[in-house]
Amino acid sequence: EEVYELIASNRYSSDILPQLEAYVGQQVSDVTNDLEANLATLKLYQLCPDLENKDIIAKILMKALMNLPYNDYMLCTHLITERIQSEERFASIAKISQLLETCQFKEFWEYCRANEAALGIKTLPGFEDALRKFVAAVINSTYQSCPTAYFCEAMNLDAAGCSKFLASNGWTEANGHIALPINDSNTAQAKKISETIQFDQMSRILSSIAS
Amino acid sequence: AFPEVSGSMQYADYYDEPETSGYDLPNFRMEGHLDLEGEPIDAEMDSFVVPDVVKTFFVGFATAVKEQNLQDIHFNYENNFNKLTERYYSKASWPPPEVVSPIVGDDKMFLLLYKELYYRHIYSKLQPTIDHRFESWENYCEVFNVFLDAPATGPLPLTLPNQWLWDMVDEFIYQFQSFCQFRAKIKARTEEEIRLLQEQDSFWNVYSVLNYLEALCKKANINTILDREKNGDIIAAKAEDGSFEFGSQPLFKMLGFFSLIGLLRMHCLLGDYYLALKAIEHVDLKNKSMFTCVTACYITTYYYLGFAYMMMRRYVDAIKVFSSVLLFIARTKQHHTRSYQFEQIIKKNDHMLTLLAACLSLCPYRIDEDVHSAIREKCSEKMTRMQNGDEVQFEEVFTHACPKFVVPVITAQEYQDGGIYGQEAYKLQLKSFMHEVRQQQLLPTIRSYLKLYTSIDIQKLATFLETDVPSLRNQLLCLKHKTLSLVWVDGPPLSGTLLPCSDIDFYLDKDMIHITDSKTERRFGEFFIRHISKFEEIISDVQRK
Repeated sequence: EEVYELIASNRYSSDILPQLEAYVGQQVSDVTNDLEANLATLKLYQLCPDLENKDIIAKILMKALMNLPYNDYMLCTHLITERIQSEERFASIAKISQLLETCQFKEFWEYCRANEAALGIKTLPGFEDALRKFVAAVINSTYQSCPTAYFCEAMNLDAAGCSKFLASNGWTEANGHIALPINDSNTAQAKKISETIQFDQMSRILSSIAS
Repeated sequence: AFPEVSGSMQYADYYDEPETSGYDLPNFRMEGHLDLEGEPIDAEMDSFVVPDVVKTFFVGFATAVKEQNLQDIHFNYENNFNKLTERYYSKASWPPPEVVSPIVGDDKMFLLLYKELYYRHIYSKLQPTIDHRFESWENYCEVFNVFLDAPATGPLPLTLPNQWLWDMVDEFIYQFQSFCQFRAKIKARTEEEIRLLQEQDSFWNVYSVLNYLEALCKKANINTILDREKNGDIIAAKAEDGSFEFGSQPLFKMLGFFSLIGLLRMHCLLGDYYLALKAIEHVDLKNKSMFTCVTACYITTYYYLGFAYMMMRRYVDAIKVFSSVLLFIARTKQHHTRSYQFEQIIKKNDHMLTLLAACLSLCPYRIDEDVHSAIREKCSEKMTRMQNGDEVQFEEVFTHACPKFVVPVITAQEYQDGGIYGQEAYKLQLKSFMHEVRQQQLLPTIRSYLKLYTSIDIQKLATFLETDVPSLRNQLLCLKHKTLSLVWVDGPPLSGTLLPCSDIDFYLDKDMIHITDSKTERRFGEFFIRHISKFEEIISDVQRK
């Protein structure tokens, strides 16, 4: 759409910054995520430090976290100078990224609760849902059946919320354990890597045998 | 394609790695060239007496350029220029353009090209002053403008060897890096220099550099051309609207292509790996014909491609890229042993080998036997330390092999503070890389334990690892999460599908971990084929004698 046209034609011009910033706001309210546009915004901030807008940067980083397991957050931090990243607000975002990447989910939700204002979670619709989705996906790829208590802790859901979640995803619970759907990741399949010999390799041999 | 003869002289210092002076980046050229008394040599000499041999060279070179005699131009550029440099100008600059102008009858085009070589020589053998830097920038603008302003009616009456075109783009970016480093060391700058830097901020402005590269790409319409060539179309000289299709002239096509690689490099230097990969999305990596005409181009492309993948945490892709180019270098090394480029090729080879070792420590993956033995030979110690999670070793490897990142802009505040900012960009990228390393620190130990069992109770594993069950649960999740990465399958380099990339597969059922190792068949076919071919060679050798 029009943002892409702007980026394609005027990527390095700071004139397009207002539109890009507005687009970030739109992504927040629509619960969408556009990595390329956000990276373009960050790049313009990198090249024109006097135009940088820390609110927008914070929003972009939080949106990036919502797109886990993709490593958007990492790509964004490559473009943000140390001077900005060392500020407290960004340090706390870095902290939750760290907790998420090392899968310390219980600690992650605790930290979010403790620092809700600083992180501005209330202003980001869909943040909790997106992260719950990520947590569920990781658990799904690791467990075939997982203790319910553990699951609820990792997902930051109480018993009622948990049953609602399970119901909406078609997962079942029995004996305090949740049975997770089988997929490629949570089955250990012996991969047999066999050797393939290319034809041209063989043809050399064959031709010399023939002569 | 041109024969791979001696490369340009500027490589000698660009990749030079002298002892660090404490401020400079570890692998950046040491500033200052000293004469016998330890005084810095001024780039200008007082009197310029041009030897006759050199005069003949100039005349011959200018004629070749005017007559578009590609062979002669190539010969002059590659051989004569370097020979004369060695003989007369190894410690002094070439005659300044004003002196050369009357010798070649004020041939403007030749003078622009000569100035490019003149400044390149100063950067390589001498210490460029701020004026040299500004003048060189203006010259590049003029040269590029000649290309960009070529009228749409017909081809530009100029032809240059591919090696020169590549070197031009390469040197352009190198001088930009050098300028950023120069500018970022505010402490070492005189007041006059600081004033000039702040006033003339259009010189070596990062936007301008990027825009020039983009403009060269657009002029040659390189992306469309690459797409059409992929489909097997032949590029006609007339574009659809009747104007001249610049991409059909080899000069523009190659210049456009090299600019594309230049963009890949620029974006990596600025830390924007996503955009770097996007820049080359139209390049067909499977078809190597465009690259291999200039070896340096091929190696540079793959180096930055692999590095970008690595920083995007796409270790499998990085491993594949590094392996393929290392194999290429190993195979073609013998053709370059006598060329100027040899040293730099070896150096880049070394860099990529250590980066590959780092990637393999973070993501074990099966690679070619030849590459594996090369790693074992050159960096087995480093690799063992990295596999044990030695952070210092990772830092060392990264510092040694990373590109020389640039600080694109200095703010007014920073000018005032008068510090040294050259390392900021590098430190940022290093920090990000080390974050990843630290997050994965505990994983190799877990992996090695898992490999020993087909099933193990979570409590038992926790005891082995001297940790508690909740932490272990987190770490197992982390292992799964970290080994799920984007892998390139087909299409543009940026694309990829999320795939599990671990060498061990496991899952948890209640409190029991079930593990399967991937089995690899013994590969004897390749081994036999290789030895059969070697044997054949020996036999034919013996028979010939």
